[in-house]
Amino acid sequence: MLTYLQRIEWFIGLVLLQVLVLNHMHINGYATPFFIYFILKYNSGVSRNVLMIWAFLLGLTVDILGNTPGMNAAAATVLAFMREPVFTISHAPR
Amino acid sequence: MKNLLNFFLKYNYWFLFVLLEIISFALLFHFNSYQGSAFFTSANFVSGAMYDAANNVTGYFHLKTINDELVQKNVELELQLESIRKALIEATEDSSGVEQLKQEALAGYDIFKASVINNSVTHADNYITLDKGEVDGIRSEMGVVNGSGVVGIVYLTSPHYSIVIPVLNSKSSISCKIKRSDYFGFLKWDGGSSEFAFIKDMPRHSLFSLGDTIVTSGHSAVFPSGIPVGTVDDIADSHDGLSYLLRVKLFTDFARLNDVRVIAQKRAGGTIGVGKAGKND
Repeated sequence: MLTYLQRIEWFIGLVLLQVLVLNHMHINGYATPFFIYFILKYNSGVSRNVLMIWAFLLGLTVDILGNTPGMNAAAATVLAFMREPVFTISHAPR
Repeated sequence: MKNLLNFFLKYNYWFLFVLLEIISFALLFHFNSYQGSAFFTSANFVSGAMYDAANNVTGYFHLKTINDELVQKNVELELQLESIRKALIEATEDSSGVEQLKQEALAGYDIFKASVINNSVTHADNYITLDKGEVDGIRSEMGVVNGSGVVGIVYLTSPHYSIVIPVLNSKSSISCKIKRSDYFGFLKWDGGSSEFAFIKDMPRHSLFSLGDTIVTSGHSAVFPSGIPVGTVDDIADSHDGLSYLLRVKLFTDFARLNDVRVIAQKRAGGTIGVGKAGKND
């Protein structure tokens, strides 16, 4: 229960940070999608489906507030989908 | 059969993935293709209220420069008023003639005051959110201007908020003319600097020079004729070589837009500028 509350706090905090501050910042002309930190920090061992739904909702929220419906949602879902394989590759025992 | 079921169960996340992606892309293309519901945009109630609150805070940061500009403008206007008053007294004993002209120019239009609560200039398609909506009388296809010039055209409205397509959007297309010679073309923007836009189909034989003022043409019902847009900054050939491509330095500073006016023709029906804010890309 507590972790859920914490997760929702992170969700709201990152969305506000993204929409009110980072959407106005561009580094070398590229956007700064920091909200994906939520997806990266999520506990390992989470099922992909759960993570993808969180990512989709997060992306959609940022989209609605930034007038880009679907764009961030699609990208965040791909990221959630790819997270586990990428982590596995990058942390593979040598 | 059992193998098939096992296969589906093992790879169930693929289905969720595809489903979510389909929803995302449906939203993306739906929003870009026609005027759908304003719900999935920053004109919905929750995000509108949030941006309202944020704007209350950030609005203060601009107050000093805005104040300076206002003082400057005030001085200019007072000087102007003084000279005009003198000229008026000299020219006519009866001031009713001038008053009548002024009223006639504004008679056909309603003017609503609105504040920008969300704005961007860095995307390929920028949108502006205003804090006024249908309840305040704002409708789609109304013109939006600020003190220095044209801003854009209202696109979507919800009860309390509305979204404007500014000049800085690939969907925007505003009919303009050169003030001096009345040749007209469409004002477009294709990314890049927020200070410049382009007029594409300016005929070869048209008369203009660098620094000429561009104003709205009044060919649509969205904007009355003569609202300032910008000045001619650079002249080049269009891609097909049949006409001129003018780079226009916009009067409006979109990067710090705050107070705007929404203007609307009073008479309902008649010729409303269809397709001005729409898709002619």
